[in-house]
Amino acid sequence: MLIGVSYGLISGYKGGQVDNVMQRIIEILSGIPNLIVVILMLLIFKPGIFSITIAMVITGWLNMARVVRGQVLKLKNMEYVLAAKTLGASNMRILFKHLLPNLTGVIIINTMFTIPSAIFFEAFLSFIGIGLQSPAASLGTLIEDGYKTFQFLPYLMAVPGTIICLLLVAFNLLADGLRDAFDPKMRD
Amino acid sequence: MAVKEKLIEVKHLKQYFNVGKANEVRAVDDLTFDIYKGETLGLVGESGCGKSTTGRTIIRLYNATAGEVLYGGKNVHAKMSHKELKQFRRKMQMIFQDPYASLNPRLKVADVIAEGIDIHGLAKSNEERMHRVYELLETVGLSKEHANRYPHEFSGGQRQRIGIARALAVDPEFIIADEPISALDVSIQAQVVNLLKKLQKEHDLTYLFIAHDLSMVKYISDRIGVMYFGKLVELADADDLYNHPHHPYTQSLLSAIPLPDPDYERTRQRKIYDPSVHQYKEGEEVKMREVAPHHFVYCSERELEQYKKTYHG
Amino acid sequence: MEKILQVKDLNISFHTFGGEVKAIRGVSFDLYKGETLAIVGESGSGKSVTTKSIMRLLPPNNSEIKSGQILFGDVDIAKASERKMQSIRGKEISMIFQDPMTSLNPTMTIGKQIMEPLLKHQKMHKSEAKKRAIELLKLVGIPNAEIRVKQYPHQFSGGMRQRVVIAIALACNPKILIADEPTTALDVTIQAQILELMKKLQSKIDTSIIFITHDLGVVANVADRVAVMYGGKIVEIGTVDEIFYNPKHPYTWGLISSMPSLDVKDEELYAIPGTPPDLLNPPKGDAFAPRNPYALKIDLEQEPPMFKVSDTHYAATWLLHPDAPKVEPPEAVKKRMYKFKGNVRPVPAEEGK
Repeated sequence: MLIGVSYGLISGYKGGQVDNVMQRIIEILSGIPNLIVVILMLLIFKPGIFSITIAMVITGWLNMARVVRGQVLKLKNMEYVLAAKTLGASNMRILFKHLLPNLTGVIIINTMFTIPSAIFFEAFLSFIGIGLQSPAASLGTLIEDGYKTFQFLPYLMAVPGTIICLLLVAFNLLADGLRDAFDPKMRD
Repeated sequence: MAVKEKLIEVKHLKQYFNVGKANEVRAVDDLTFDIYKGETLGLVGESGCGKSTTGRTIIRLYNATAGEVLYGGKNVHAKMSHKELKQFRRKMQMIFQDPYASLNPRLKVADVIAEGIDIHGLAKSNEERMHRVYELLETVGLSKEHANRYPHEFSGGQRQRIGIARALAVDPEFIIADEPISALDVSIQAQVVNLLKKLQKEHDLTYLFIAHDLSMVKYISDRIGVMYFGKLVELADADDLYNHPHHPYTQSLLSAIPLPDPDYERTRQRKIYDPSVHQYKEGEEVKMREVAPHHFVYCSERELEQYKKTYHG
Repeated sequence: MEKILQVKDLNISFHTFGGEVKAIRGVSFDLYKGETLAIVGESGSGKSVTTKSIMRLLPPNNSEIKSGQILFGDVDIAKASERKMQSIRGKEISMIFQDPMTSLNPTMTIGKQIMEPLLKHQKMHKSEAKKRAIELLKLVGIPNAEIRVKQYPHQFSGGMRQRVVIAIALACNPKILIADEPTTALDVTIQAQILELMKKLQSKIDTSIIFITHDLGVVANVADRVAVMYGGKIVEIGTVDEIFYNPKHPYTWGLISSMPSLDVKDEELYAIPGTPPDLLNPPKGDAFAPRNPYALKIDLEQEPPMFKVSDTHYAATWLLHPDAPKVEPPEAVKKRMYKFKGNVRPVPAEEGK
C-alpha cells in the first residue's frame, strides 16, 4: 500500500516526463506474470509464509499505483488545489493535506479488494504445492489434503472450499459497501 | 483625476501551450495593460479568449512563456527564493469559478479559511487563529457556527463566500476574481457582487474581475478590457466602452447581449463580427492605440484615423 | 387561440430520506399554440420539475404526482401509461437541455442520433431518414451538412452541438418544445445565434415553446408570456410586457432589481436577501414572505390567492387585495413602468390561470 500510494502520487502529481517514465516502468513490470515472481522468490527463499508475502508485496503495489495516479491526475487540477497554491502552499503540503485525504476513499477500496485476491492467491499457491506445506494449515493446504481423499471424505474439501468462497464474497461486499459510502461525499 | 499608482503592469505577456507542436495554443498572445491601485479592471471575452489563462498567469499558477508581470515594480515570474515567492502569494489572491470544486471537501470550513493563516504563520495561537476565522466569516456574511461544518453542507453562494473569506485571510492587496458568479443563481449573484464591492472599499482592494457576463462586469468595473483569441482588442473606462465601442468585435459582443426590456429586444439588431473586415495588409502594424483619452483599441494606423473620426463625429 | 397544454393544480412531491419534499405545490397554467412561454425562477423554485413532469421524466421510484392534471389533447399525462408516454416523447413533446456537452451520445454519429426519432416515431426508411437528417442539419444552420452528418459529437463546438440537439428535438415537428436553459452554458454571441434560430424555426413549424431560464434578458428576447415561479408555485404570470413593465409581485420586483443592466445607471444593485425556502417544511403563508421587504402580516398566515390584474395577467400577492396598503415598487422597477400602456385595477380571481 505504501509503495503503491507513493508511486502513484509522485507519478500523477509531477506529470509530464516523470509521469511518462514511471508509467512505462509499471507497464513493463505488470507484464511479468505474478507466478514467475513467486517462483523466483521460492528459489531465493524457502517456501513458506515469508516468501509468499514478499512475492505479493512486489507484485501488489502495481495496481494501487495505477489507481492512485489516475485519481491524482483528476484531483490536481481541482480548484481547491489551485487555491492552495495561490495561498503559498508548498508541494508537500498539497500532497499531504489536500490530495492524500481525498485519495483515502480510493486507497481503502483498493486495499479491500486486494485482500480477497491475496487470500485466494495464497490458497492457490499452497494448493499447487509451492506455498505452505502441510501440516502447516492454510485454506490451500486443507483443500489440497481434502482433494486427495475427496472420493471418500468429501467434506474435507468442501468445508475449506466453502470458507474460501464465503471469505472472498464477504470482502468483496465490504469493499463495495465502502466504495458507496465514500462516493457521495467525494462527489466523484 | 489624480495620477494613480500602478499596482500591476503586464508587459507583452505570452502564454502558449504545446509550443512548436501542431496543437500549439496561443492562449495569451502579447498582452500589455496596467492595473491601478484601488480600481476594478474587468476582463471580458468569450470562451477560449484567454481571460482565465491571463488571470492564472498573473498570479503565477502558470509560468509565462514570455513577457513579464510586474507587481509593485517587481517581476512576478522572476526566479526567487521560496520565502520571496511566499510573500508574493500573500499579496495576490484568487477567487475561483466553481463553488463546488474550489473548496477541499475533506476540510472543515475553519481549516479552509485558515489555510493561508497557517501557511504564513499569521496566528500565534489557536485562539488567535479561530478568532480571525470567526471575524472573516462575519465579514462575508456567514456566522461562527459555520466554522465547524464541511463544504458540502453549504449552498453555492455560501461556498463562494467561504472562498472569499479564504482569500481575505492573508490580507491581500490584489484579488483576481475568475468568473466568481457564473455558477450562481441570479439573485445570489447580486449578493456576492455587492459583498465584493463592500470589501473593496473596506480593505482598499484592487480587483481583476474576469467574466463573460457583460452586464455584471459593467456594474462592478471601473475599466474594462475586451479579449479576443488571446489579444486585448479594446480597453477603456466602463461607461465609455459601452457607449462608444470602437473595435468591431466589441460592437458585435455588445449588440448580442439581450436586455431585460421587451421593447428594446424587439428592435435590437445584432452585429456579426467578421475578422476579415479589418483587411490588414502585409507589414501593417496592428497594436493598441489611444483613440481617445484612456480609450485604447487594437488597430492599424489607418483604422485609428477612422475611429477618431467616429468618436468625435 | 388554441390551447395545446393545460396544467391544472399540479402537486408533486419527492420522497427522500429526510421526508417528503413538496416540490410543486399547486401549479396551473395553459400553453397556447405557437407561443413561447418563459418560466423564470431560482434553483429550487420548481421550474425544471414542472417541465420534466410534462414529459413524465421524473424518477418514478421517489417522485409522485400527488394530484392535478396535465392535459395534452385528450391525454392526461399525469395518468398516462409509460407506453403512451413513449409515443408522445420525441414526437409530440420534445425537450432540450442545458449542457450541450452531455446531451449527445459521444459514441453515435450525429446522423444516427437525428435519425433515431425519425425511425422510431415516423417509421421512415433509413435512406429517407438520412435525407431528412441532412435537411434538418441545414435547417439549423450547420454548414457542410452532408459531411457533418457522419461525424461525432466531439467534432462539434458547444454552439453547434446545441444546434444538433435542436435538430433532433424538432425532427418530428413536435407540438411542444421544452427548452431547459438551453443557452445558459453558451457564449453571448452563440446564445444570440441559437435564440434567433429557435425563433425562426418556431415560426416555421408553429410549435409552442416552454423556455426555462434565469436570464431576464433572454426572457425579454424570446417570450410572449412569462411565468415567475417561487417555492414550487407560480407567483406571477402575464404577457412579457406586463411582467417587465407592470409587475405586481414583490419577488418579480426583486428579480428585476437584482439584474444589472446596460441601460441602467450605476446604483446599488438590489440583492434579494436570504435563501429559497425549504420545501421539506413549506412555510404556512406566502413562501416568499421571509425575504419580502413588502410582506404584510397576513403573508405569514395565509397563502395569497391569484389576483387578476388583467385577462392575461395574474399575481399571487396580498398586495393586490383591495384592502391592502398602497405600495410603491422599487426604483429599478418604476423606471420601466413608463413603458406600460394601461393600468388595470386588480381583482381576486376565481381560480388562478
